[in-house]
Amino acid sequence: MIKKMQDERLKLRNLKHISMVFFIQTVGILAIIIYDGVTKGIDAALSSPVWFVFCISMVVLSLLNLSISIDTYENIMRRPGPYYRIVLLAVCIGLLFGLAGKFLPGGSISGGLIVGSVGFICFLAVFSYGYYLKKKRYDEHKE
Amino acid sequence: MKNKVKFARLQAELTQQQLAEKTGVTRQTISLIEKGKYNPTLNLCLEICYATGRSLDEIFWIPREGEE
Repeated sequence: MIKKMQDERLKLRNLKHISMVFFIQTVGILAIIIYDGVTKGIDAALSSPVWFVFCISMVVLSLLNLSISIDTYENIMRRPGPYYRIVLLAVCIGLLFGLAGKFLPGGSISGGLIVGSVGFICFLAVFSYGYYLKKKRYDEHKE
Repeated sequence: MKNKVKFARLQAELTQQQLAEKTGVTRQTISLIEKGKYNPTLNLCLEICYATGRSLDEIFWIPREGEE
């Protein structure tokens, strides 16, 4: 029967191994994408599911690392600004994306709406998470 | 990091294996801690103190160089 690992030293070592495997996997994924790009063209490489896996892993990694960035953020004493500013900024970015989707060559109203909504949701989610982390750090600092 | 884990373990009449079982780690980890080759977390330090009946101060305190 496999026993659950309790030893903190082994857990740390396991984490180091996982990060090494992640590095190897990432290099492998990049090699596949580059190979596809060279042999089948850039469109084939970008429509490959491996490319989406790569993008999603990088987005998740960046989001997780956001908390590290906030921890090293020096201006922790300052209270984060009001939340509605973030919503307004996300609306502006969504509008810009939407207009680009509508007016760029090959664009349509439905395309603009989809691109705009995706831009709005993505920016709002990321900025809200950043705002939440900053506010949490500020509240912890106040205590 | 230097420490007095080996001394405290011998005083408590425990083997490395027994201390490892009491603290929930492997014998190798205890061995590395005694040799100063692995820095345990505060939680593990406390577990070692509970198992040997010593305080953190007695086992892990090291005066700064030049201070005694």
